[in-house]
Amino acid sequence: MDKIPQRSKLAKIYRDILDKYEGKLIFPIKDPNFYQILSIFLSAIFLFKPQPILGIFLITLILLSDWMDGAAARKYNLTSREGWMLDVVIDRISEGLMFVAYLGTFVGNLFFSLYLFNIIGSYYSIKSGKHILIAIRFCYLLYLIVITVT
Amino acid sequence: MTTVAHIVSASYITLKVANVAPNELDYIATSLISAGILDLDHLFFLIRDRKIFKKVGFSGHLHKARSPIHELLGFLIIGVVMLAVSFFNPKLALVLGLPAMIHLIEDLLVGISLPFSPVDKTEIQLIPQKKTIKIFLDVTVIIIFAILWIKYLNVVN
Repeated sequence: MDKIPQRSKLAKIYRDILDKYEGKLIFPIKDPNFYQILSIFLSAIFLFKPQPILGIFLITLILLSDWMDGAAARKYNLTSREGWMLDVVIDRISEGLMFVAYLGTFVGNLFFSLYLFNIIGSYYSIKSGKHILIAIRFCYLLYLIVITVT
Repeated sequence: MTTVAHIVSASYITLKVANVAPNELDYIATSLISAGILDLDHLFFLIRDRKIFKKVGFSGHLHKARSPIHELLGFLIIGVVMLAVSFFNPKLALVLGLPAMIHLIEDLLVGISLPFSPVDKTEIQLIPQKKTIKIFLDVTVIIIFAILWIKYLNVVN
């Protein structure tokens, strides 16, 4: 498979919104890999179980850096299939680091299971050309917001 | 990254995350083994393909001397084991699997990977590095984590 897998119709809804603002993003560093490495280190903080408020802040930064690595690649014509693959791997690593320390709790086991599902989904995406993954970091962000507010 | 660097870094981070006390020797031993055992993967391929490696050398080719367990598939296998064990002993699940996860992450950060092997053999590299920088990183990691290990174990005395 030579092409980058196509996103689902559901994913295209939020992608279209993000694409509108992509042109306005400022990139202090042009190399997309910088934002990917940043994403890993921010995710590693979850190993030490930060408080929900800090967790919300960190996930927002992680999702922002995940957006920026693709946006930087598109802006500076650095997109490639290898770059897409790297992005998928970094996303899986980020998810693994975020939820591994919460294993043993119901929520931790649930999100960790979804992370394992996403790994399988990543292989399926490569094989089929269809990008099917669950936005579990975004779902965890919503969960943290709900438990903080209630 | 060398096996020693993997062992000292991945196991130390895990012991801190899992709150393992310095006198919990069974957990410490488990984390050390988990952090290093993945590199046995290299041994099989280095022996099987020794004639090829004698010609081309190991530098820049070690990613070809390992199985898909060193890639995304390894995260899946480790994750399934961790999830299963977590229902009985969450601390053991962490100590058993997290060092191996960190080992894989370190290999991804500092080397060439074939993340979707065996389905796809595309190579990726996050941080291209010269050999001297890799050696410097290895030595730095070993020194830093050796100091941290000494401080950690000295808590007992």
